[in-house]
Amino acid sequence: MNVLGLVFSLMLILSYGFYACWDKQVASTKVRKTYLGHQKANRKILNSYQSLVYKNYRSTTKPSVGEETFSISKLKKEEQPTNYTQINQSCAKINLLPLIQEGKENNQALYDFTIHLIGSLYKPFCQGEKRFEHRLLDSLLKAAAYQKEDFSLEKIDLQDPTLQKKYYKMLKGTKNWDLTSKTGYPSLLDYIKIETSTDKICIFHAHISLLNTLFGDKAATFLYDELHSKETTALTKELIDTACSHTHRISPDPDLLDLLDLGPHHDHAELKKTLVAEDKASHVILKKVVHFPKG
Amino acid sequence: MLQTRIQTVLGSLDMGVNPPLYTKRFEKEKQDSLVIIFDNGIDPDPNYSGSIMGRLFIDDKKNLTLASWPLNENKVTSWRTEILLKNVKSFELEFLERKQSGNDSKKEVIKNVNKDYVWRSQHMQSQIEAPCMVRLKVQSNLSKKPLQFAFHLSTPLPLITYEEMSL
Repeated sequence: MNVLGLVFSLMLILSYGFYACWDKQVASTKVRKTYLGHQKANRKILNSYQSLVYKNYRSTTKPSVGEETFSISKLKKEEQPTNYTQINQSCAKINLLPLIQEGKENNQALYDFTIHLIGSLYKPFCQGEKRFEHRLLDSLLKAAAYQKEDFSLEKIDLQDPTLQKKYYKMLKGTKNWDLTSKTGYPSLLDYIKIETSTDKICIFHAHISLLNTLFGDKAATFLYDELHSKETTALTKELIDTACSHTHRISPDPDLLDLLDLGPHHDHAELKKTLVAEDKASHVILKKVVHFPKG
Repeated sequence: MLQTRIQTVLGSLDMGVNPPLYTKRFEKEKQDSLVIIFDNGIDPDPNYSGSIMGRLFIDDKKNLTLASWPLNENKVTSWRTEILLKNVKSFELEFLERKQSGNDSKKEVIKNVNKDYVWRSQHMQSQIEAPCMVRLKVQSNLSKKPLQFAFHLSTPLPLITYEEMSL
């Protein structure tokens, strides 16, 4: 009996020891994998940034004789679409400054569109509370009105701990966001901005989710495909009407259309841009705002 | 931890602020600290979101520490500290930047890379242009061999070396 007890206790000690070693090994492998993922994603962002800086420098050079037909914007147009699907570009974000400065009464279309956008993208928050999107936007506008110039959305204090927590989650977004399976939600910072600019929302550089909010799923997909085909060079009211009629949908309100940048496709000279990089092996996704030299 | 955190911080410098990083000797300290203005992203505390100020230094307990506090506060009421490495004897920094005359201080060590770029041991507040690379050498109390790291910065300074070929 005594021998059996000894054997069992030895086995128990060994199994504890083995589990501790194994647990440590698994933890260190995970840390190493995440670390390498971060490094790889960082390197990707740095490479993309350097490529963009180099492209900007190159576009300032004058074309030599016989090369007039070749332009950088054409080159960009040909190689683009893949980038657009990644993120809603800065030029396609909704600028809340008119709402802060002039009030929602004078910018009803902008207010309604923002409410609609929050309602459709952040359903998990809206489902738990009636008129959540109204409460959030009103609090955001009220808090922003007291801020000094040149402030960022993430620095806004809503003066309500519960709402602030939800706002924080919305700003962060979820790691996995899939529009088709409707899992997770994106970062609110990809959709709204506050800046002193009169530029309208650029639909060419907008993410499909923004188009969904504007025109509905089917019309948005139709319009998105049209805009990113090589034949389409401009966004017109007729094109929007066609997309809506194709999908049996009423054309948007003229006030709402007035918020959009109708006209030919053009690249926006931006001093900063958000870059996204992913390391597929470790599922590490990094998003960084990079700045470009002036001029 | 040390490498990942510093890479994150240096990779998120706020280029809208001039200069986004510099070295400074604080009172009662034996060596320079690195002051950094960086984008901390989204934090549960709105004061620590977006651009904040950080300082890399060795504290009284010999820890390599990153302290951070909100940028736009006149009175610093709170700050955060992160211990990046314990038992640190000293650390050295080197900045790869464009060669400029007139900014040299007597204590500074300058190593030439080529005719355009140099490694400098200091980056003064008066230097507006951010370096494109930072090297960090940490001397621990526990080992003789120093830990060495290199960090790339997302700066607009182009580092393109090319040779023109005659056709």
